[in-house]
Amino acid sequence: MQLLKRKPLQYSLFGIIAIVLPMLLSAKGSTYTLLASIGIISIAALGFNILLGYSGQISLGHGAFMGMGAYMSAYLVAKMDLPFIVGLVMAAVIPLLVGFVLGLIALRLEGHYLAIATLGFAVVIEEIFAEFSGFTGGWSGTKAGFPEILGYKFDKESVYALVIFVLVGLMIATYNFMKSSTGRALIAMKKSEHAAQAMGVSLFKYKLLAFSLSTMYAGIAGSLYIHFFRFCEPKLWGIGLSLDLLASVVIGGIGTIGGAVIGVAFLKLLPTFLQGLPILGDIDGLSFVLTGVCIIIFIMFYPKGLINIPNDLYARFIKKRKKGGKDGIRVEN
Amino acid sequence: MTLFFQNIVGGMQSASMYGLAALGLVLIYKTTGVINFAQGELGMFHAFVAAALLAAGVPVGLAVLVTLLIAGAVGFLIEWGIMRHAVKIDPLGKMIMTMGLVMVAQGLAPMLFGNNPLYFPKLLGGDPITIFGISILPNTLLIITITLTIMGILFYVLQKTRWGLAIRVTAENVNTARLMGIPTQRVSLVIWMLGTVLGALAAIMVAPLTTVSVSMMADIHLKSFISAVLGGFATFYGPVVGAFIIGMLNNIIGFYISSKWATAILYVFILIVLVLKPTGLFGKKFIKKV
Repeated sequence: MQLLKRKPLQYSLFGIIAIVLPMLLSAKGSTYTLLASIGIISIAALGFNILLGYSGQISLGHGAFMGMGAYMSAYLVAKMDLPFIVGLVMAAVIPLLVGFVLGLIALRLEGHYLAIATLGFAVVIEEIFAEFSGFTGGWSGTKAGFPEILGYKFDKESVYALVIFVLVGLMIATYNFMKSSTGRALIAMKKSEHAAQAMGVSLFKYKLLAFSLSTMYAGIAGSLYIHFFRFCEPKLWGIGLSLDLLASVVIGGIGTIGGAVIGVAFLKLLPTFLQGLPILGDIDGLSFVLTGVCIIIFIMFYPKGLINIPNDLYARFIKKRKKGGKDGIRVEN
Repeated sequence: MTLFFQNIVGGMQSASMYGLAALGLVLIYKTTGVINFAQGELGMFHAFVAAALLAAGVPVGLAVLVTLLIAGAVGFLIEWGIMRHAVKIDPLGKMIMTMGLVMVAQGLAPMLFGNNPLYFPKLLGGDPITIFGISILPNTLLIITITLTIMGILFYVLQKTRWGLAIRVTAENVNTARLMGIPTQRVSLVIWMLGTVLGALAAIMVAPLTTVSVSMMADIHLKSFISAVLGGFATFYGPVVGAFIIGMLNNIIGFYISSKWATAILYVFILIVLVLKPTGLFGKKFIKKV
């Protein structure tokens, strides 16, 4: 049991379960699609959480970075016949560089001013996606195939496994990163910018680092997206996706690694689950309404994120009982 | 030159809508600290209400009036039912809660009013009037007049009346305001109602220009948000000025430079302004206490 308390092991275990369980249940194609989209968005949300959760910056432009990764990867692999790995790496590097440059300019801003600046950037990028049809396929969209690594051709199920593999790898990497001195500097910054600055943490340097890293995660997610769904169009990478990322990080738990995944799963699974309900699911739009209501209720009662529910329950029921005993003694005294 | 002014007038029409919505946003933000992402979608919902009333045979004027009353009630319900209980939640959490409201509005509208877009007529019909060689539709003139009137009244109330003072003090600092005996809870209730009504009014003005559909407010909401940021969240008039700058620039860029890239150029321009003035045009430098 002691071993299970180690986070990297927990993440690996989660990954194994996520891969094996659908196989054992011989899940349908649509289930794989849903699960894979959760995995892919989770990767981007993981990066977004470094930015929001650890450095406290809001971006509404991360959807565009995901798109950048997707188009980059699709262009390199499908049009230029380069191996998938090259596409994936470039899909990580290019958004990283663009994010670095945007960060240099935009990180002077704070809060909603930064949010709008990144949103403006995203709108411009979206227009570019739509107009530069030679590179992106324009409004008619772009296509790519399932990936191929060292001669092994992936199919739907194995791409899903690949997604989960990358997700778990990044979760462990993020965990270790947060334990490093750089990660500690970011956490210090989140707690108090002034205190961190007084301790010699260069705010701009670390904000820029967090921003570029998060755009890299988004790029990787984009690359996996295009190679799983094999099609995308410019509209996909707009503000809706960025808001989804923001919402899932806040709902899941700001500044936690598991929270990003839980938040995305919550946002993606809940409407599907509600639609599957017997009578309620048949009413048009009701699943949407109920999802909205659930978001409001969960934030109201769990403002620190869904990931804290087990801890809260533990504290409320198990610890209370122990406490109750003590109180009892006090009464006797 | 006539063409230039023609574009300015056209820009003022959209600017009026951005301005009303932005004013609603900033009123709510300054007094309650909530960035209301649902402003646009609530407006969309109310436009549906107005169109449905119209389809049921209610005269236009009455339909608009009833809709605005309903909008006030919705604002009341949101504050009274949700936001009042969320005081301790951090601003980001509240923002996500309003995104929950977005989903509720987007789900309710097709549920109650069907999936087909509805039609809403211009409040004022008639042929274009020509003033100094610029032709203006009566409806455009009406929109601009209504907006300027409402803003005039609002700013008068904010600056000259006791209620305005209460709102401004609450916006400055809620806790101090409460200590001074200002009923801050009632203030935020009124502000939520007002903000929702302003959003609904903007939506009703947009409705004749497009159709009443779920996505009708997406652009307006985005532009109103950007107006608020461009003008700065620090003052009540900043966002309105921002809205007029954006509305007119959008038209002028679209006409003189490129209609295809108008939005992109506009956003680059705003990015540049923000880099030069990180808290908006009328922003104050925010000083954090340690």
